[in-house]
Amino acid sequence: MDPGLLRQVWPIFSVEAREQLAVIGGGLLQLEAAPGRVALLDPVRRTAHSLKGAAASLGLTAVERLAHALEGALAGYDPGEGLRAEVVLASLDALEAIEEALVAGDAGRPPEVAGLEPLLSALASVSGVGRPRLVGARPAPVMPAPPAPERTPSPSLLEPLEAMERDLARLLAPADEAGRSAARADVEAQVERLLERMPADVRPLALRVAGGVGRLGAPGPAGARAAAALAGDLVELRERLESGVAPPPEVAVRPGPAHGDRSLRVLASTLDGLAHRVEQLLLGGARQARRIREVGGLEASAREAMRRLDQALQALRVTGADQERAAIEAALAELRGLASGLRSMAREGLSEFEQQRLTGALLRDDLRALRMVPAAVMLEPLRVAVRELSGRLGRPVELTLDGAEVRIDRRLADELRDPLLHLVRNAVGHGIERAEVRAAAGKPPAGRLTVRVVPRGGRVGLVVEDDGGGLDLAAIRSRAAERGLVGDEPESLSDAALARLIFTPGFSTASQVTAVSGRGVGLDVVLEAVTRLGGAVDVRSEPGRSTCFDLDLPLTLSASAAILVRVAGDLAALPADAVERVVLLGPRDLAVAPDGATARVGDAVLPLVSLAALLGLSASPPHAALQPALLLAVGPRRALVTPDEVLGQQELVVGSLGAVTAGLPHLIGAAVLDDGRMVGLLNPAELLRRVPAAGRVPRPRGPRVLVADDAQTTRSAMKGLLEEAGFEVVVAEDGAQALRLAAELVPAVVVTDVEMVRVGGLELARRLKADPRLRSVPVVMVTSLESPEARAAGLAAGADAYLVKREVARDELVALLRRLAGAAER
Amino acid sequence: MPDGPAPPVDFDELQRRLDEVEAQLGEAPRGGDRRRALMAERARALAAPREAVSEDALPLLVFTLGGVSHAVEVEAVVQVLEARGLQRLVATPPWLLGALVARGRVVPVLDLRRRLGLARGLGDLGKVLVVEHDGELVGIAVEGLEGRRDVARRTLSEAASPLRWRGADGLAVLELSALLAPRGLG
Repeated sequence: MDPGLLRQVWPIFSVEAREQLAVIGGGLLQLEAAPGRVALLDPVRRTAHSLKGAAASLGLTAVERLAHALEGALAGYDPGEGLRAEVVLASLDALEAIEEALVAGDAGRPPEVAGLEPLLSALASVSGVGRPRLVGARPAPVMPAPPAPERTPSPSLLEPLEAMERDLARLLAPADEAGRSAARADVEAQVERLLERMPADVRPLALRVAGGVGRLGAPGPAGARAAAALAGDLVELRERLESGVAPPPEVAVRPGPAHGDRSLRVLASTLDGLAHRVEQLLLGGARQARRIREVGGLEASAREAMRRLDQALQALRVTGADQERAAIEAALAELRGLASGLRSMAREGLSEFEQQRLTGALLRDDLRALRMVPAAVMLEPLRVAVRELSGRLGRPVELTLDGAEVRIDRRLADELRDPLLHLVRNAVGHGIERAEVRAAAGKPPAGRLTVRVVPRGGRVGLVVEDDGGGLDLAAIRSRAAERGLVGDEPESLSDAALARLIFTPGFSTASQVTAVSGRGVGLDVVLEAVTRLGGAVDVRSEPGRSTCFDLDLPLTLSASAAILVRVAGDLAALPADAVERVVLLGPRDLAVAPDGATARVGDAVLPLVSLAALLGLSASPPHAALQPALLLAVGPRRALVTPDEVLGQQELVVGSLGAVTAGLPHLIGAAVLDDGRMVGLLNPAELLRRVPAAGRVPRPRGPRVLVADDAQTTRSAMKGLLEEAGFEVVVAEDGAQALRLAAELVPAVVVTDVEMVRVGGLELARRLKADPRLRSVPVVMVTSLESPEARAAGLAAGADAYLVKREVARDELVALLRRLAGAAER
Repeated sequence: MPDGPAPPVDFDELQRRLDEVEAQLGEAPRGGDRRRALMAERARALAAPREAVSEDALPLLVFTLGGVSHAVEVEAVVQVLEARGLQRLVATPPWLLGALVARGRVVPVLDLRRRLGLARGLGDLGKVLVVEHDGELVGIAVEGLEGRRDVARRTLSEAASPLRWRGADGLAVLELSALLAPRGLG
């Protein structure tokens, strides 16, 4: 197949094929467990068949052959005997090989299958003995009942179908545009003949085929996708004609997920694109609302002007200047008309805006629902993994999946698949003991492994629990001591705290890392994935009895309510679902325990930490008697966190900041507020992780530097640089603001640009030096003005140092400020 | 939402609502947007492949950082924006200046001066190059834009990461994959 075309169709094929693999794998295991349920076999075989067809249409011969051999292996199924273990194992191997080919394809490599021949011969050896099979041959009828009306498809039916398949192959083969449109015309001609002859029960499918043909002419990728979908439909149609068994309508539409939910395939990127557009619509709406309010403001000032004119008129009446009075009265009448026009405009604008907001909100809800998928897509692949691993290790495991119907965010399902797989492999490989150990402990021979998806209001819990030997706390303790993770008194650490150490990057006890549970990849990867999604992981272990991993995540990542706060002068947001409540703390609620601050909320005494301290920023001391605090709760962890100010609540559509911010676990992403400002969304799980046992966060406060510059980037760069050097930094956008802040805060040093709107740097320096309270505050000018005259003017205005932006070295600037701040403090 | 199957999605209805909202919003060009559109257009013009470029020429976008000329391959640049739209984010390290919105996405904006070993220069970062890397958009704040330059490949010599090449005149061409690697920025 043309590589360009393959690349276009690949994402769709890959998603579809994975679902098909999940259906086949899940079905096989259920069949193995319940041999009598022959009804399970049919969807499995049909799915394998569709996979074969899709692979063939893309020219993926290896996948096609494997899928075909799978079908063959299943043909030997005898309901009385059940599915033999070797059939299951050989099939699972084949599925895994196909999965690997898909992974390669996703990465842009050729989707090849390694070790194809051994896999094929393994499948052949377990299939019905000596039954010669041809590609595309009619599968043997599976079960005697229900008595399927054996229909031998008449040649008149199959002939147009085959012609169509040939034409389609021509269409997909690399060819010039003329060749393609000729092939398209042929396909369109054939579909007419096909429709005429279809029996009623397959007619809907045939109609869909016809619809697909209509879409073939679409330009670019859409056309290629239509061709691929059509190829799949043709395979299905052929099978239906050949087998004559009408499957239940749900399954007939498409071999979808096993739970039979009708699903629609939408590329995740399409969905994201839609979400972004909706976000912009909503943002536009908010701006519009502000403009409407501005119109209202104009109206008010027009009224005020009229009021004053009226007064003037009154005064004139007394003096009797008739001509002027008449002119003013005319102007006044005009103004009155204008004002009422403005008012009705504002009123209409407002009602339009309300209607639009409502529409937008509905749209957003729809989109959010679209993003949700059943947890089954994440859980089902676990069956195969567990079966494969327990087979390999000879350790029987009974897997229970709970909550497969809970709907979660699609991205959550995608990103949790690997961490979950890791946890489950870990449980089978290390959690559950060998049979003889279990017998000695009086446990049933098969280990019990449960994976539960538990709705928890705005969040969702993912619980992986095994009834194995529990964590080896002694090994963890000694390993932690070895790595210097527990300080001087490893004995003082509680078991729970000790258990959590296994999430530390690079941490592993000898018994924890093997090829089985992830080729040396530790649990830190699980922690990282979960943290990135705004969640938290916890582990509980009962020695000899069980290990339980609890992943707590937000239900949806697309849009959610957030609490807006101000911290150290910056805006920040926290997901509302992690804020149990907002409380006001009075002096009586506070307590200082020997190991840090705490506060009482209801009956609980919780650690109390300032948000600024958790973020490594310098906190301003509370100035009011009542201090607002957020009660953060993620999983079992709770703490009171105090921002400088709580600003309110807003719905946010949060965008990820991408891979460059992977090293900043406190930030989940950023969002644009109604008023166009941007806000960083903090990760509550990470904040809680930073809360020490009882709220103490040591943070020596450095000298305060006031930075005045009208360029946002320079303020930002300077703030970052100086904060890192240990200063507390306050920024001002111009000289006027700098003067206000200087008077209020009395900084240790002022760093200022020279050219700023309103009050410039020279005037700022002069006014600071003229103020008796601020006279001793050193002023450093950092500017792009290089001339000797400019330098002289700066120093004359009172600057203690004058640096040129282009040439200043950052280290030198920091050293200079340290020196000046130190001198000022003495 | 967690229980029961999701209601079927009516795409026609969805489309209708989108159209409705769009119509209600109407066309409302604002100063900032117009300027941004202009900039975007200019960036596109800069990035447009020229007709008769010899095989050997490598189109670069040249800019100033730390007072020195640097360049990236034009191909990687999606958009050039005014730095004025930039906004600080809470508790960020010095290399992360903040973020701005480009193409409807929130894009982090980086100050690469220290990462590039430029100890001197705190010039105002007036422009942001939005580059695409690994499917993600990242903004690189620069002091100024010098423009597009086609440089003959044979005049470029390999340079140590995070640079990719050095031009004959000392022009430093950045290696984005090294600069934007996660954890490569601290």
